Amino acid sequence: MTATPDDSSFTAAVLGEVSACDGAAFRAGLAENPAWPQEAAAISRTAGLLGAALRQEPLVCLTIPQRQAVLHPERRTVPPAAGRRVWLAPTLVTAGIAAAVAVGLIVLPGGPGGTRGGGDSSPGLPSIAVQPGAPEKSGLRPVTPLPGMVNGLRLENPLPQAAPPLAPVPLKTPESMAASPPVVNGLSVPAVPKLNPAKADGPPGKSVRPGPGKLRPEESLGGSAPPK
Amino acid sequence: MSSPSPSTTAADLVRRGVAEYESMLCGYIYNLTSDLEMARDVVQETFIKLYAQDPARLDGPGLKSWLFTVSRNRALDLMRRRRRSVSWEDSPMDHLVDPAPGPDRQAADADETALVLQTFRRLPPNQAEVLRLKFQHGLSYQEIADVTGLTASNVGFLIHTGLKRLRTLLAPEAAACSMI
Repeated sequence: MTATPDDSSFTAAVLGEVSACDGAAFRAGLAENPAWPQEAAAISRTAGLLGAALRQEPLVCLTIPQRQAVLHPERRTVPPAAGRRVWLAPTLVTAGIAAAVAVGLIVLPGGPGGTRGGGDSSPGLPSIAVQPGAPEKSGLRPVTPLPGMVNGLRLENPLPQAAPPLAPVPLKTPESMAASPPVVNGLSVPAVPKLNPAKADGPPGKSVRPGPGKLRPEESLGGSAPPK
Repeated sequence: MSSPSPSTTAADLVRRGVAEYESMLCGYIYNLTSDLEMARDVVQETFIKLYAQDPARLDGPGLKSWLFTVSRNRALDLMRRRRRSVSWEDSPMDHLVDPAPGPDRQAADADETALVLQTFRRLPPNQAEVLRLKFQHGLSYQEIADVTGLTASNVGFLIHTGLKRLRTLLAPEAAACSMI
C-alpha cells in the first residue's frame, strides 16, 4: 500500500474498508512508517468519539399505530399522514375557492358578468334565469315547480287521460245521402233538391221582353229553329 | 444480521426490518428532514413498500441498503415538494428529549459528547450525512454509496475529509476545555 495518511485510502484502511490484500499492505506500512500508527490512532479516536456521540442521540421510533400498520397491513387504519398532508391542503383550498365562486354566482346579486338572466353574459359563465316577480334584495327566490313535479318528485303520468278516440265518420256520397236523407226537424230533407218545373221558365212577372232585333223568348227557349 | 432463508416471506422481511432498522431509519430520516412526523411517515411508507419486494432479493445484507435508499429518496422527494431546507446548524435532535438522560452520566463525558456533536453540526451536509451513515448507522462504504448514489471512492473521500475537519475543529476546543 503506497497511500500516505493524507490519502482517503489511508482512512479507509484504518476503518477496515479495504480489501484483504490492501489491509495486509496497510499493516506492513504501519510497521515500516513510524508516523503511521500515530495518525491511525488519531483517526480511530475521532471516529470513536463521533460514533459514541451520535449513538447518544435520542432514539426516534414509529408510533405504535404506525408500527401496527406496518406489521399488520391487513388491518391498517393509520394511513401515512405525510402523503395525506401533501394533497389535502391544495385540495381543500381548491374546494373552498370553488365553493366560494359557486356561492357568489348563485346568491350574491350582480355577480360576475354583471347581468342576470340576460343573454350577454360573459362566455363560460353560467347564466342564471331570474324568476319574474322574485324579490331582488332577498337571497331567496321563489321556485316555480316544473310541470309534473310535486315536492320534487316526478309524477308517473302527469297529464290527464285523453278522451277515447271517436269512431270514424263514414264519408257521405251522393248515393248514400239519397238512400238515407238527413232529417231536419223531423222532416226528411232530400239530399238533392228537385227542380221546380214551374220555375223552370223563370220567375213570374219577369218575362223578358224581346227588344227590336232580338229573339223572342219562345225562340230562344223553344225548340224551334230561328228563321234563316 | 440474519442469514438468508429460502422460505422467507415479505412479512418476515418486514418484521426483520422493523426489529433491526426501525429506529435507525427514523433517526436518519429525522436528521435529514428535521420533521419528526414526516420521518415517521416516510419510514412507515418504506416498510409498507417492502411488502411488494421480492424477499429472495432482499433477504440478507441488501435489506439495510434498500431501506435506507428508499426512505432517503422518499424523504428528499417530500422535502423537494415542500421546498424545505434543512438546518444543519440547529440539529433536529436538539428538540427531542433524551429518553435516557442519565443523571449518573459523567459530566466529562457529557461535555465531550456535546462538544463533538456541536462540532459535527458545523460540517457540510454531505460530509455529515456520510459520517452519520458510517458511524451512527454502521453502513459500509459500498452501502453508503448505494444509499446516496455516490461512488464508494467518493464516499471514502468525504469520510476522510470529514474526519480530518472534525479533528481540526475539535483540537482547539478540546484544548480550551482542558485549560478550563
